[in-house]
Parts: sequence; C-alpha cells; structure tokens
Amino acid sequence: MPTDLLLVLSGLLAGAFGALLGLGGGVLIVPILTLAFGFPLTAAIGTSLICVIATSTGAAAINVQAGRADVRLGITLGAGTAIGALTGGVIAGFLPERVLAGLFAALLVYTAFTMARGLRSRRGSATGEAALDPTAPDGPSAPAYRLRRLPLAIGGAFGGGNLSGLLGVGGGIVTVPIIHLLMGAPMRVGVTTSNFMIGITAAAGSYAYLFRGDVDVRVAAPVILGVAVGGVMGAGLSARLRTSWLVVLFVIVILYVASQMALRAVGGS
Amino acid sequence: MSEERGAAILSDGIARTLRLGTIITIAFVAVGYVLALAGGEPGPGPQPMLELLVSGDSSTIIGLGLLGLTFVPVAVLGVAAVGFRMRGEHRMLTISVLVAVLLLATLATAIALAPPS
Repeated sequence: MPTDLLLVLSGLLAGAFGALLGLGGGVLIVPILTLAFGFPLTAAIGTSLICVIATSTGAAAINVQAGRADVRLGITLGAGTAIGALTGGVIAGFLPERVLAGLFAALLVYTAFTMARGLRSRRGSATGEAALDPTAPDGPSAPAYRLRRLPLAIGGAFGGGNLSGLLGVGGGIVTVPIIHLLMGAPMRVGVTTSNFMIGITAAAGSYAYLFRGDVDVRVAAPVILGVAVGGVMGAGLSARLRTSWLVVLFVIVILYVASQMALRAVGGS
Repeated sequence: MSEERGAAILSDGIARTLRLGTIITIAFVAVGYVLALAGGEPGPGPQPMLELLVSGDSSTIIGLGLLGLTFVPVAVLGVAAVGFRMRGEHRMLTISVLVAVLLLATLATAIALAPPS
C-alpha cells in the first residue's frame, strides 16, 4: 500500500509539473520510476507513454475546442511521428538498458538547456496569442501564418516520434521547434499542436511496450490516476502562479536526474 | 449546411471525443485499481497485454482502460475524417484515414511481434 500511495503521489507530481511547465510529464515519470522505485527502464518508458497519452488527450480537448491547436497540421505531422514512434518502440526492446539510460540523460540535459534558454525569452512577445479557427483552411478566419517546409517537417516529426517511442516522452521537445522554427507557426500554435499530436505519437509507441509485456498495469494504474489529477491541479494553478521560479527549480532537478541517469549508463545497473 | 456541420465536428466533435475518451478509459483504470486494492490481489507483474486481457481479474479492467486510452487518438482521427468529408476536404480526409490506418498497423505489428504465450 505505501508503494501504491507513493506511485499515486509521483504521478500527481509529474502531472502537476507537466501542466505547469507545458510538458507531457515523461521526462519526470521515467526517472522517478527507475531511480526512485527501481523499475526496469523499459517498463518505466512503457508506463510513461501511456501516461503521456492521458495528459495529451486531456489538454488537447481544451485546446482544440478553443481553436488554439492546428488540427490539420497535427494530423499531417502525426503520420511522421507515428512511424517514428513505432520504430523507436521496437528498437528499444533490443537496446541494452545502459544505452537507453545514456540517451535519456542526454535528452534531460537538452531539455534543461532548452528550458533555461526559454526563461530569457519568456518576457517576449505575445505572438500567436489570438485564437485560430482550425476548421478554416482558407478565407478570412484561416490561420494567420503560412506554413513552409512541410516535407522536411514530416521527416523531423519522424525523429520526434522516434525519440518518444524510444524514451517514453511526448516528443514535444522536438516537434515544438519543428512547428515553430522550421515551419514558421507561432510558438503557441507549436505548443498546442504538438500537444494534440502527442496522443497519436505516444499511442503508436506504446503498443510495442504493451504487447511485449513491458508494462506492469498495477504500477501504471496509480501513476496514471495521479497524473490525471495532477494535470488538472497544475492547469488550475498555472493561471495563478508565476512559473519562472518553477522552471529554475525544474532545471536544477532535471540536471541532477540527468547525472544519476548518466551514472546508471556508465555503471549499467 | 454540411460544411457547417463538418466544421462543428472538427472542433466540438474532436474535443468531445478526446474528453469522453479520456474520462471513460481513466474510469476503467480507476475501477480496476480500486478492485485490485480492495481484493488485496498481488500485482501480476509485467505481462503481455493479450495474456492480461484473458486473465479475467481486476488487472484485465485496468488493461482495458490502458488499451482504450491508446484508441482515443484513433477515434479522434475517425471523427476528423468525417468532418473533413463533410467539408469536401479530400486531401485531409485521405491523410486522416492514412494516419488512422498507420496506428492500427502499428497495433497489428506490435501484436505480431509479441512473445508467444
């Protein structure tokens, strides 16, 4: 029972932090399950992918209804991420745990770097704040941006999907820059559309883990319930909290976790 | 008229599918988990989904919830395809169906690669 309670609390923490910082929660769930609870990395990745679907679908419902996510773009890029996630999920089954741990440590360092850099530009513009009409490809209510480099973006989305299936994260760390920087959509559209796509991506990645027997449902259940409640709590708090100090705390924590993952990779435990 | 309905499906329909899908599947997980705790059943440990689904205990209910959650995006793509069809957006209709088929093919591949029970 104490373990169950701790798993629920871990999910709660990951869900709340994820909602507050705009993450799927995978970068927290995987290290918590492996480093704090001692679960095998592949089991943690499979469990994380399922949780990531829940956080994505919950938030995407709000974003799609509010017209903040570009549904057309999300579905189109979803083709790339789905194939990538399947490939990643299958490959993960053949990779030694220490290789996965090393890759995850690298991903955490990159995430920390990206978030720290984002802090500086956070005070910036409100570009893209206006709601979109995702049902209007043409005409006066169409998105006020022109997307470019679609074939390249689909290729990049494959990479994001691959990362998701391989390491159990949403892949937003790759797909947001693709939509925003490569394709030229506003940052907000990048975040909300990526969130919409994460459901498609994580579903594709999770099948390999579910059917291979890498997911312990009695571990996944409390974590996913915690994530669902934590996500709602985090979303409610995000409007009232200044998240800058949270980002600083998160970067410190994530760098510590990265060092532990790197040690695991080197030690192979 | 059909175009307007298509537009409503693409925003409200997709949002409703996402919301309902999440609530129903999480409810399955919650019910299965509470039953497992109440019955004091030990966890089965990591188990392939096909074995879990035929075990017939509380873990099966949790498994159904988790598997159902992975089908929410497939349902969303189906709803989107209906919306695009009503609006006469044939290219997006094709892409939506293609991505849905891709997800189902991913599921079939995972089942095919699953260890024999």
